[in-house]
Amino acid sequence: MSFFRRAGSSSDSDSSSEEEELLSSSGSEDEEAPPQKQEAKPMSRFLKTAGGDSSSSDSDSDDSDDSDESDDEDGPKKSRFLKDAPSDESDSEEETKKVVKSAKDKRVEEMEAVIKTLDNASKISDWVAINTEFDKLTRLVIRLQTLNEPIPAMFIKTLVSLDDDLKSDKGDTKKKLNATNNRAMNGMRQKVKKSIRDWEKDVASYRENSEEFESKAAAISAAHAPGVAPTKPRAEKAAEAADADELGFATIGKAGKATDEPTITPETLFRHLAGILEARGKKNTDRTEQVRTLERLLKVASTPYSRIRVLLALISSRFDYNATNQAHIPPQSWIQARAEFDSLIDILISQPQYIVKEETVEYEDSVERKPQSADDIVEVRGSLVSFIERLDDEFTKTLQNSDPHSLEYVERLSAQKTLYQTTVKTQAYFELIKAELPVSRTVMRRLEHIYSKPDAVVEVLEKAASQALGQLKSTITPPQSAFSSTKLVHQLCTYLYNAADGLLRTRAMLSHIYHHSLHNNYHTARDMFLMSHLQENVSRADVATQILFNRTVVQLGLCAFRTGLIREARDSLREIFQSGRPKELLAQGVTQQRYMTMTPEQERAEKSRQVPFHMHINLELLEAAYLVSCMLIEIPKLASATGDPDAKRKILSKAFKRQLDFAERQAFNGPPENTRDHIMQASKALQNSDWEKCRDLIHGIKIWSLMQGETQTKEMLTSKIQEEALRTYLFTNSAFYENISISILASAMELNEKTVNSIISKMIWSEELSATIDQSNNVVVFSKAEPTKLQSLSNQLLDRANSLVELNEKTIQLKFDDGTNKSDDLSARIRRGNRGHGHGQPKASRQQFANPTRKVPV
Amino acid sequence: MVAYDLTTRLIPFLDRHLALPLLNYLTDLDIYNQNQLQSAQYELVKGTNMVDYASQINPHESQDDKKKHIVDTQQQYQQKAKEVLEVLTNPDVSNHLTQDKHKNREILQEKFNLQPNSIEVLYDYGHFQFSSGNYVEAAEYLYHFRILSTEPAKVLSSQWGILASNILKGSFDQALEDFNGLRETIDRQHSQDKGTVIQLQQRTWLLHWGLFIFFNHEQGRDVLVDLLSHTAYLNTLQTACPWLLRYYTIAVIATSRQSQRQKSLIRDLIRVVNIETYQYQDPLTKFVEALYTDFDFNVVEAQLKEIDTVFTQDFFLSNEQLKDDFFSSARFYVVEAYCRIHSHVTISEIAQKVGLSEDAFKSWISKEEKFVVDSNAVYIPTETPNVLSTILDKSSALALRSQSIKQAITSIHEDIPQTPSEAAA
Repeated sequence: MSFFRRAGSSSDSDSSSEEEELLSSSGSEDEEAPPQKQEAKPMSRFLKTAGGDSSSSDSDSDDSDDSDESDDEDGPKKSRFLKDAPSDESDSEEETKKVVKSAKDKRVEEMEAVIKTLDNASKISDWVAINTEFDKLTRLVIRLQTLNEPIPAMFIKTLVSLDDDLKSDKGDTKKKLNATNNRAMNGMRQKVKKSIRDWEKDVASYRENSEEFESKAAAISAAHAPGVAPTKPRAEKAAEAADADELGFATIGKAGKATDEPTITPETLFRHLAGILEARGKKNTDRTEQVRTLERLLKVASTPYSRIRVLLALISSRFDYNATNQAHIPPQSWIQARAEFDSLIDILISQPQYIVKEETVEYEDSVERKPQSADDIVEVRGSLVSFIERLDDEFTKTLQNSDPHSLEYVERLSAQKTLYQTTVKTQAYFELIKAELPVSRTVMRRLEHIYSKPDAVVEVLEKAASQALGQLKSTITPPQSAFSSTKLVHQLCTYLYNAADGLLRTRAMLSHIYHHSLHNNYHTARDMFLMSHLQENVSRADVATQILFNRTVVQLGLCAFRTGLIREARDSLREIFQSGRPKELLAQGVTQQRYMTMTPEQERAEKSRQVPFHMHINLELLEAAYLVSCMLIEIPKLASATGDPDAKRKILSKAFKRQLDFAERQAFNGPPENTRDHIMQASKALQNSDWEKCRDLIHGIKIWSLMQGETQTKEMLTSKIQEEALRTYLFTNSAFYENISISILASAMELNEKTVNSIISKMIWSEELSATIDQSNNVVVFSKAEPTKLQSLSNQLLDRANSLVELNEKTIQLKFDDGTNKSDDLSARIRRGNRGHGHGQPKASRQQFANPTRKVPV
Repeated sequence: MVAYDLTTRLIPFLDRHLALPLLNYLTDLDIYNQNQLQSAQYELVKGTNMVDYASQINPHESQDDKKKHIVDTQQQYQQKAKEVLEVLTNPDVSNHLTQDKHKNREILQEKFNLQPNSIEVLYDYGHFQFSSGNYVEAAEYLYHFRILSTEPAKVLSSQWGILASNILKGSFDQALEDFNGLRETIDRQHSQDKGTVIQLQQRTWLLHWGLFIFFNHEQGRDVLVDLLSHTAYLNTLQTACPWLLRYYTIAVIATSRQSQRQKSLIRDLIRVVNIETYQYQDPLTKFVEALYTDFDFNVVEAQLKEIDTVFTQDFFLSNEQLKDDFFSSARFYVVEAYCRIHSHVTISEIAQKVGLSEDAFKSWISKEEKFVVDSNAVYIPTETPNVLSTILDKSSALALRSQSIKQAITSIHEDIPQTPSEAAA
């Protein structure tokens, strides 16, 4: 039982609880072990007496791994460095230098050290110490097993001798021992019994002929890893390697040929590589050291194969950083990783006979390989596409985690150009080797770099990319004679529509729509948006896609605004603003939630979703566009609704209404300070049909400068304001006139008469205004059919009374009609039903597209 | 004048055979280069088995080889199909057959020794006949195939074939039935992933093929209006073939004004036209826009004249009756709008707006009940409802209704005490 516990616990995190400790320790004790508290005391007492034996303290913290691991590590290390350490035996002084040792060597040494202490402890019958040391030993053995390395003979030997000791001790020594020791011994007995059962065969053969067994085991381990056998020659070799470490590599670089030196043959190179790969991901590996070694190896590697192998290892170890401590990869490593990846791609392009694939046939790791014939292809295991995606992700992460207003951010952002070059090159390479899935994934990454950027930026990126490509040609994006980002995005997207799966296609679609909106192709963008039917199922998509969706909708709204389609703009933007959390929905920052506290994990997840600052859509601009759209729509509506309390409820833009009401309650209105103030005061001016003031206030909003096509937008707004002012004027003042001259209206609003005519005609036709145009005199004649206040009030009263009576009828029918009057009931129901459907259901229109049900990313 | 011709846009969505009448019509119109038209016709015919026709258009190219080949194949098919038809025309067979296609198949195989693949012959032969221009036979063979076959793809294809054959042989009642059947089949298809694209494509075809029915069948226009009141088809029109808006507009405007739905139909039409302005405009849509969006009656006047040329140029609209219906309705709407908006409308003024002489206008308007002509003015008599009287009406009804409730309650109350006394008795 303890065997497995240990195995599991070594991978446990620090958080393993008190309870577990209790379990494991009591497991190693006898069945009738006293509760923890009682046990702990004698233990510590024992610790004091046993003194110096650092290892026994391990039994407490066995399960908490980190410290434990390092303890394990420290033991032998210390002994190696301190000359007088008891366990330091024949290991020579050369070893004190920094030695590049394979992990295998280290493990063997560790084991030797443990066995040594074990022997010493067993000599003095210190069972507690034996117990802990044995645990350590079994753990080491398990590790060996998982790595598929042979079990050294010394382990079996120790096992057998322990077994013998226990058997001989049985009767007589028992009484001499104190309680703790006794218990430990009993625990030991069980463990040894179990271990022997596990290694039954080896133990048996050892018992038969110990010497033969030992030599055999040594032979096996020697064969398995040449130069690892704990013999004298190994030490020498290690020493040489150590020398070479400091100087050798450099000189070889000068000599130019690695094969000349006996120590750094290609074989040693691959062995080193194998060692590093093995140690990867282990807790005790020094990552920076690894990277350094790999860099040296890269200098040595001369054949394409070895370079590819080393580069693959090097890039992946660059990405190994501690994700819990660091938010992102150190910028320096990123830059290097990118450069190395670039050179890897270069090698692969120039050496078409080498191919890096995720899945390859099995091959021997430590042998240099070359294509056997002209059309032979050497496959190397690795994933280029995951590298390029990782590079991209890390790039985003560095941006997310740096202050957008600092120079640092700009500096990092400038790396985008090189990253883009690499991406394009990789894409071209994938196309060359016809790897479909990687192509689409890379194309997606490329698309994500450019879809939200203005043309000028894309052009710069593209120029750089075409430089990087050189002779390489991409079939997806053939070089354009005259650059057009729309064309490029179109090419990329169409490729993805045809090649990619659902998610990539969705994202490509959204990016495409976004791009179109950015370029004012409102109709194209809207048609694509509607045809994609995304608003129906986006709530099932992942958060990143939902964010992209929100960004697209908002961009579409801005585009509609610029095009002068005020209603469409309002509809697109409304959803985002009604939620009250536009920041979150667009992943551009987190607003503090009043009734919600986020766990650190949530916070981190939220942070990792944020869109990097340079891709933000300006929220203030968005709000300005939204509120101005609301103003243009709602102010005339409010004006037409005076005297009708129900109409006020039909206001759709609640957020706008709320702000307007708030602004109206203010006693004093100073000069407008922010965008909102501007719009609220403009709204008031529009209510008074003072279109000039309204225009000035709206034009005074500074944020428009961020809008593309600022002047056209302002012109558009001016004419819209004039029209709406006219409508508002007619609504508010028609009751006070008998007729108004159209030419006066036109000059007051500075509109031409034709427009005024058309606006008034429309209002008359839609029965908003009860009037007629007298075209011979060019005046609008208002008909006084407007009910007086008393009349309209009595109408309202009657309507309510009506519904009351209806309610009564219904109740009566429900309560007293015990089924006898079915036909009556039915006819009543039919009558009611008819009333409900009298006008035919209005069709779901294309205009109403902006009612997606969107989930809020939390 | 070529500007309003839609033939080039329609043809990609039509069958070769269906496109031929359009081209023939154009030849009569004389708005395109005749040589080009002829070569286009020849290209169309070349792909069919109508050899004689082809050599008639282009006598230079010999069709003899093809003709011989066609005659041979026809004989082969005839032979094969004969066997099948013999079985099928046997009255015994039809007595045995049920609604279940699979079961039919078994019956035919067991009792009449008809192999499933011999049914395929019907399809091939039908297709061959269609290609040769023998639409009557084609429709017959394909019909037999359709009711017997179990293969969905071919059944669908045969349905298209039957529809085309019926259109071409001029039996529009039949065609309308086929049309509705086909529409059901298409609507039933599941729209998944790529399926939507196919569905869109098929709907587009259906709309185009349907044009023959819409403007030749008596109820055709209603069918068109019905079809496009479904979102799915309206969206198809908007995304794939906005030019069909012309026919939609005509159908809506020419629809009987007595129809209950007319108001909402017009509303929908205005909306669609406004949305699609950016990608399709012609005199019809401009007319709608000018009349109901801009209220610019000068433009309305101009567009009405343009519409006249549209009618003469369009293959589907060459029907005089249709033209009369349309113009009568269109005039009505123009006058209605004009009168509602303007306070004093003289006859000369309005007659000009709708493009009629004063006398013609007078005789036309006398038939319209809605308008009143008073010496020189036209107006819509409106009774502005007296506010007081409406209020009175409403309140009197209220009193009546409340009273009946009260009575109901009292009668129930009277009932209640009776029940226990009766029980006691």
